[in-house]
Amino acid sequence: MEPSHSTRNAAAVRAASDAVLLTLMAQRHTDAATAQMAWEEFYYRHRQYLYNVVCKVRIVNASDRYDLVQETFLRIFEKAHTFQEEDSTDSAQGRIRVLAWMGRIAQRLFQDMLRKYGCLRLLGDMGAAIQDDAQTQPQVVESDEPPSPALQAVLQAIESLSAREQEIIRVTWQYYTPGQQQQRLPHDVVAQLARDFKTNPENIRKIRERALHKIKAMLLSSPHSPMEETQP
Amino acid sequence: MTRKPTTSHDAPSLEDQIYDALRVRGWIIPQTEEDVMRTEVDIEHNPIPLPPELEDPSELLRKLFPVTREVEPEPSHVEERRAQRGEATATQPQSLLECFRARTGWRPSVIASTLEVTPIFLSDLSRYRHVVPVPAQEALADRAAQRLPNVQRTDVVQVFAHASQPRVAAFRRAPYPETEPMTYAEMINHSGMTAEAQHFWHSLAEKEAE
Repeated sequence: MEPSHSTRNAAAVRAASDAVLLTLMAQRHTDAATAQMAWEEFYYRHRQYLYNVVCKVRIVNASDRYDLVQETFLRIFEKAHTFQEEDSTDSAQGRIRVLAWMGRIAQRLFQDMLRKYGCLRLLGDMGAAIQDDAQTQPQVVESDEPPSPALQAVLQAIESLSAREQEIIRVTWQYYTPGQQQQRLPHDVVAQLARDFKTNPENIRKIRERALHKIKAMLLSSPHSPMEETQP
Repeated sequence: MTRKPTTSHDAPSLEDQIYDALRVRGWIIPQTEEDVMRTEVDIEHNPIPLPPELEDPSELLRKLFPVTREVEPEPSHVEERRAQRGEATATQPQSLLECFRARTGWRPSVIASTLEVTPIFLSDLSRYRHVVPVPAQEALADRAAQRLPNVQRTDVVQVFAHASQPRVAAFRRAPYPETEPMTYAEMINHSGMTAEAQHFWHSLAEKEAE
């Protein structure tokens, strides 16, 4: 039997690069069937990576983890036309670029979820002994390659904070852009944190400042302090 | 988000150090090529298995190509009668895609292209099976039996024999928002199939009308 047009099309989609799949999705208004196939192929290729990434964020409830993965793939379909492909003959590099783009979409959706549900539901109460959905929490193994001594010192400083301070630092830095000066946490995020911890926004800011002072003090006393490295 | 690179000449701020620490720990989703490469190595060495809830993208495909009419709730007297008969409302009939995937082990897109339809059309045929004309059911059954390994004509006939019910994903607290095409014709029009294929499936409805 001669392969049909749609069978040939499916084979071409399976062989296409990630960037080409996004282009096909972007053409959904002119060729919906191929756009569907392209999206499905994209889903099968990257579902494992994205799920693993989401697990590392340590979202407590399984349903929230699944929602973040699924919503990201839905958003990718909607936003496929915004992916900027750079000239490159290296398909592996192109794939990495697509995954980084997907990460930015997932991060924005995670920020939206934090606004909507609050950190206690998503990240759990770090001070509580039993978490709501602890049985479904997948086993996340730390990286084989440990962080540098300097980063390790920062992590230890963060982990020495109280549960509430750690939560506030984790949420605050979800909205942080490295290298930018004078960053402010959005008001609605501060308000949500205040609701989560049954306090007011001003107190949330004070807790955050106090946590930063503690981290700084710990780093200055650490032999691996990254701050020491920068001293003249 | 554009990330300003920090050079060895620039002392990283405390804020940037905290960001890097959280990023390395995995608490911030990788958004740069460098982070992605590091994360891929981690995942390769310590993969977390994919849960069954994320295996099949069929439900998501439905959300990407929705139709607009909301399903009317089932009248309470129907639910009562069902309860009296002892029918388990949680029991969901197997869909065509589930049946074909189980028999062939193929992806939905491969199954659909082999049958010269789209995954969303196959999915809709199962969900709204009560509006599918008998000639269309028979055409699909013939095609599936001829082209898909391990699939019998009776498999398809049995799927169409079940009444459709709303599906609830195992991890969700509520069903996906249900939508229903008004007619079989609308189902075809939303399918994303080629004009030629749409004409074929429309013609089967006309055949029944005759």
